[in-house]
Amino acid sequence: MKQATPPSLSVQPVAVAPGVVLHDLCKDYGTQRAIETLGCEIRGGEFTVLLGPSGCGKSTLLRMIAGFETPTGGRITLDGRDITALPSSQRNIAMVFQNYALFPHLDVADNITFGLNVRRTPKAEQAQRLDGVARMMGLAALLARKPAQLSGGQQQRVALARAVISGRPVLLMDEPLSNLDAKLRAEMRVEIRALQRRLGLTLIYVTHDQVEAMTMADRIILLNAGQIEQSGTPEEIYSRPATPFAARFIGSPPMNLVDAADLRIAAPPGTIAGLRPEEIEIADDGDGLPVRLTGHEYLGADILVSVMAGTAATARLILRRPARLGLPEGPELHIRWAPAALHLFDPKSGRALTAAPAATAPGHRAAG
Amino acid sequence: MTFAAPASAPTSATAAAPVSATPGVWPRLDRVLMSAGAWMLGLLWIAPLLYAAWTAFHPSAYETRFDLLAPLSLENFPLAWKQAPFARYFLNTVILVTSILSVQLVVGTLAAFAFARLRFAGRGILFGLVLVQMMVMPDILLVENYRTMRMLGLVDTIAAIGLPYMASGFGIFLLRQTFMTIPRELDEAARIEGVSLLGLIWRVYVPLAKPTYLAFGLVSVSAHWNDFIWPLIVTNSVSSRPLTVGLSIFASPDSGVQWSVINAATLMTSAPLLIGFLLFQRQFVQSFMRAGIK
Repeated sequence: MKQATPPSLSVQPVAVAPGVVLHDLCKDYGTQRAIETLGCEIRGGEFTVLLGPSGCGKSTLLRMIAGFETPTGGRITLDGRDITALPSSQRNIAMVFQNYALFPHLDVADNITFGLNVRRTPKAEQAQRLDGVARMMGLAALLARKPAQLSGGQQQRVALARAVISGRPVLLMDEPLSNLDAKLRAEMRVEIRALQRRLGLTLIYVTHDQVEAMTMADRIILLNAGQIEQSGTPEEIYSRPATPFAARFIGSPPMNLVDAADLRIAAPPGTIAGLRPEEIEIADDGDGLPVRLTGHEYLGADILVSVMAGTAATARLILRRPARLGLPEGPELHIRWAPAALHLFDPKSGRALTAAPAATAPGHRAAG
Repeated sequence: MTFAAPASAPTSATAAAPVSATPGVWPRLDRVLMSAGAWMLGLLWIAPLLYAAWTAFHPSAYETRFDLLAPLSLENFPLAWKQAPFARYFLNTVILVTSILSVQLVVGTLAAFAFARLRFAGRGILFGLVLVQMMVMPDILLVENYRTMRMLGLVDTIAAIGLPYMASGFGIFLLRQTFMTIPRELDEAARIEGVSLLGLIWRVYVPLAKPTYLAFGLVSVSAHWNDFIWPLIVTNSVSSRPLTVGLSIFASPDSGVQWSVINAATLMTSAPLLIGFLLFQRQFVQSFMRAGIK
């Protein structure tokens, strides 16, 4: 937070924020199923990101938790209490909307205290809480402005302040940074993360941006086509993706996924092999899988090298290496990787195979 | 006395300059014709008003004779004021117009919100009926309305003049269209804070539709201030007659046609609206633009 003088403790950390559990939740729109029956636990006090491509149902899920959409089946419990049928206002949750949803006719102060006003909180208490939140969010100088007179980042802070002042322990955010420019987005990521930690909120955050998910989340729930593809900490999902979708969605550039045969890995036909770009090395000693250099991209610190592998040279791989090592001399190269870095996905189920096959493939480096 | 609608005529002069790469004679001629037309329309519209102003401020000898040096006089105004109970007529019209507008706003807001944001059985059909109201000329309903008022025992009251207009299809339609443009997220942001349905309307929808309210208010006030046929039919006495009817009785041939006095009375009765419009012209035009009425 900017100007992080501890405010007059009008916004106190939530003692133990409650968790949210989704029990066999599903949602249909007409005959279209938006959310397949799914269940998961969102732990109290954690930063959980609902991540997925557009149309995967992540916003629908959030809106069901908020109470703006009624699930077709299943239950939602908050702190053990069934809230499925409760109106939004009685769910003890606050929300930050994608377009901030600030009331254009109210000034910043009135926007922030809107909820307190509605609930008839005494004026003196309102003023005190407003003061604390405004200082915490760096909005003290802007209280008399109308939303139209604020920058995108300031509007975002007002929306956050309005959610925080309620003192509600569960905060929902729907793509809150998508309207900001890249620099501001990076700043706000840090701010939101710090705010969540400081107040101990249970934060459920919807985004399609894997960078936001990776940098902010305690736990990511990765959604695809209305189903949970994988859930876990960012490290877990990055290092052990459960499906090719998870492997491609997280990481930039994404994991290389090619036919296992193209990497000369003994596996049932159709098995997909996955390698992270940074896990592939150029073997200068000529030992390893022969590939052909096809291009490169300079990123400053790193360089991305594109190579083609496989019998017909059709398997495209991207590998990342420090730019100071320069571009390897091509066009014929050899690459290798650590056995543990290899991910294999079952051709039928599409799930990750837990045990990598015996390390007989030529690309494998000696264990070390 | 209808000045709300033609007020936009002169502005049409700025529209439609032909797109031509070479600045020839034709575009210029076109522009000249356009502005000439606009001036013609403007003059045509303001001519009666100018005539009324001319005669009202001069002795009756100059009613049909134009003389720049004619002596100015204010005596027509007290003369007119004394000859008929205009004070009472004013009061009646003000009561009429404000009661119509306030009921229209309440009914219109609630109905428009329901049509815009609530889901209920028969919504489409009911909204269709509201639209039908806009397509029916009120004059067709004169007889039926009179019968209804007699049944209610309201003939010759101010309420009888206003009652048929209090649920305005136009107002409902206009407000519904405005409410539908209000982002749903604002609605949800307010709901999550725990506002009631009426609180939501009052705190979010009404303030955001202010330009529409202003525009509709102007249309409603000027329409009912100027309405003539219906009040003429349904009223018989000084205590219920609005200005328009009072003025027409005052100006009827059996009270002797004296244009200077009649026009003085006309100016007096239309002055509040004229002055109001001139004072708030800019706000009104802006409201109309924002409310999408042209």
